[in-house]
Amino acid sequence: MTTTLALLVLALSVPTPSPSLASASADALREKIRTLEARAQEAPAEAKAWKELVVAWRGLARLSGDPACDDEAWKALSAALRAEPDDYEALALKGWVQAARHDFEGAVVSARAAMALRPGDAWNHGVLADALTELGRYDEAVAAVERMMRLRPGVGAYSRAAHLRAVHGDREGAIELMQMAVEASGPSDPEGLAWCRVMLGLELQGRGDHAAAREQYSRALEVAPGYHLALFHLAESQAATGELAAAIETLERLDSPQASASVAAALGDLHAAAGRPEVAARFYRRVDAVAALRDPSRAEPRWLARFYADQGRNLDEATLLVRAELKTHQDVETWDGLAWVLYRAGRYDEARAASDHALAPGIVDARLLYHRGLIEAALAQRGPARASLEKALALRSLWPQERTRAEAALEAVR
Amino acid sequence: MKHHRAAVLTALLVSIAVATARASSHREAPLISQDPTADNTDVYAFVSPADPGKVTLISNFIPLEAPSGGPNFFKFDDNVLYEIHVDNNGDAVEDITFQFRFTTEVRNGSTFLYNVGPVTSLDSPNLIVVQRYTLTRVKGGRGSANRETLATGLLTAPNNVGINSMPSYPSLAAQAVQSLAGGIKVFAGQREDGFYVDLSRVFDLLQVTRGTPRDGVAGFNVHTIAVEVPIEQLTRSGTRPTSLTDPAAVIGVWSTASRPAVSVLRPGGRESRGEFVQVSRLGNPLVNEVVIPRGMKDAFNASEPKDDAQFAQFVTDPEVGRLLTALFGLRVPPPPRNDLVQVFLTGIPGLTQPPGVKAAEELRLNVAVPPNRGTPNRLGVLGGDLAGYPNGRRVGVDVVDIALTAVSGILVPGFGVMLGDGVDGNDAPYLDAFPYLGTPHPGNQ
Repeated sequence: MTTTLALLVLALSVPTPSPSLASASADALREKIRTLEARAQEAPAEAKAWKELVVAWRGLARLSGDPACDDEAWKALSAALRAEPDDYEALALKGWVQAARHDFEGAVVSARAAMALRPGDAWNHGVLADALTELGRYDEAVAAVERMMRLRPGVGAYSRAAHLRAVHGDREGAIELMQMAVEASGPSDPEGLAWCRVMLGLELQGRGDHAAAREQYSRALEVAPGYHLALFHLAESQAATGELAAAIETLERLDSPQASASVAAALGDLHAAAGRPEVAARFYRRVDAVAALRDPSRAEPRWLARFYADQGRNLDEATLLVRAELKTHQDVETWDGLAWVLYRAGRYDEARAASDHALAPGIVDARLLYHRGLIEAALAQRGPARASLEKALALRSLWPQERTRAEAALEAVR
Repeated sequence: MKHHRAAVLTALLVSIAVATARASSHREAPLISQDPTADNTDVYAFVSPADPGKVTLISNFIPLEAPSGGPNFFKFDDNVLYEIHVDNNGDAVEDITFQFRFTTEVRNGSTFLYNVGPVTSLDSPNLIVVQRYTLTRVKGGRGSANRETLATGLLTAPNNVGINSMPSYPSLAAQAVQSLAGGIKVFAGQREDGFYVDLSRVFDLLQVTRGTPRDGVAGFNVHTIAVEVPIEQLTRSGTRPTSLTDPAAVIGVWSTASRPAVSVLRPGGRESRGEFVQVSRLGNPLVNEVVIPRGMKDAFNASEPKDDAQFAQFVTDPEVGRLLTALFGLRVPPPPRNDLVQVFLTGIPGLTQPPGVKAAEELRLNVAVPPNRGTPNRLGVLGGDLAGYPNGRRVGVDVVDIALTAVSGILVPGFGVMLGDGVDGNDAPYLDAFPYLGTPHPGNQ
């Protein structure tokens, strides 16, 4: 492990390295943050404690999913840079925090500035690649990962390259690289290993290879019990193969009053598909209640827009949500979100233009193709619609509702 | 010495306690991520106490292996090139390199188990995950065509999963010590981590004097590659030096791990694997961790000893020295610290400095110093035991105390005090024969 921040992170050491994941709790991190805040207040003109606070708050953000932690990280970073404006580590941390707060343009500028100071530090190339990927500037992102790869091949470079391959339509290549990332990981880094396994699982699932995908999710759960990403995508896989009861059971493990709206929505969809509309309606009402809180940590705008579009309601609001997101976030998924919302609003030409953006890099994804096929069908482009829908269905990874609609639309354009 | 990082990062980044599921609003690939399978933790080089005509070279990887690793067991990475290098003429270029490449065999398809019954031999059909390796010796510098495959298909020692599965682990692991032609022995597999340190004392602002000492790596295992080689096969003279001042007596040792660079996109599905890129480098303990500053670590890990002049400033004016002054009011020698240059870069004149040496971060061993088979001193050379660090590094020597004391200036007249982290020994016994590192902690007792 050799990143810029290794020693910085060290100073946050929980003195007892424990194999038990449960012990690495958010509480320990909160306590560390309290200690560090006291240290920072003692010597506010030194960057050191402020920088450690940045790393601690980012860690807690990952643990809790609470974006308020990233606001705190930003405050600590600003204090570090006020104390020592030329401190390299603080400058290298800046882009990382900006990207976490979805200031991707700012992250690009900061990463490039830090890179000029220490060209050999792979960290900045990773920050840059992530921000460029979110901005949909894929050619530049590829170049950044190429540089990262030359400096330091490993989990960071392999997993980033894998995502870019997938975006460019090379799923097999993405799988190969995620396998290398899994190999490079290890149980001593449970979160990293579990994350890599879930990403590998997602690519396998994306080509309809559900058995292999589920093995990855199970293995992620073994090293990281209860890992939310693994459970969520396992449920997706079960839903895609029509195992509705199993999918519901999996999602119920994630469900709680504090759970994000996406869990409630997925449970609603599954109950609806299983012929229990009243139960589904109850879950959908919960989504609406969470959405009304306007808390992006529990109902991410881009996701909420897609939910509304799936339901065919609140389409004006959905359009506004995606358009707002597009101002800072222009990756394939955001463009697809816009395409889907516009299609549901009956604005087919605009929908197709947005879908063109989404598919431009060459990505082959069941959901994107399903949206594309419906748009083409609405524009009476029967041949292309047939091709898109057939391809989408062949990938065997759509949700039950999506599959039903895709099959009906395909029937209509045959 | 690199162990601590894994633990800390794990503690920091684990997202398991997340009570609420949340689809990430953007993709966040690992950045403060570890690369444990290519993470070089410790290098040892010493004249073998049980066979004084030979030198043992050891390199450890994969920090902080919890014995109860569960079904996700630890193993070497098939994609990594693991190497131990020897510079036998002091020119900062490797003359002899031992390369280890692994291949994993998973029997019975995809099962979650490591074994399906008791395992008493390395090729037991009850073992589901089996790793084999090839050992290659390269003579000459990087890219030299003078390569010789010393052995292929060698079996590694499995993880010590517990007494039910492996009723006699020591004898099982002993089977993984392979004797090759020319008197060479080789071993690869799991071992007990022979390193000991109080992590929080050394790394949390060097709190060397507070609290109760605690070995932060006690109870953990590592993965080890080790070779034992007749001395005359390593020296530039091709002989076994008997005099400390023999110009061929000092060899420099370091270890590296390299991963293939892969082209990000592969138009037309063409082969995308490229050159190996070195991602980890280790010779002396502490240099990579404590002396090389953040932001320079990727560069250091990718570098070769011949280019070490670029890092000399961090040795001649180390931050740790300044910290000792700032925190404890300790008066350390003023820069440039030529005393530390000798410890870490050139070797100590009359003991570990080869004639005409080019300064480079190598673990330097004078092979003419016989092993201490009586009562080895934990403080090595500082304790009057010339067969201990910084003359090479044998298992058990307290490199943390030695290095801290060296930084305090003990080698400069009028400076220096004995410093220590308070942890003076390992938590498990070492072996008294090759591969010297002890039996790994079992997964269940």
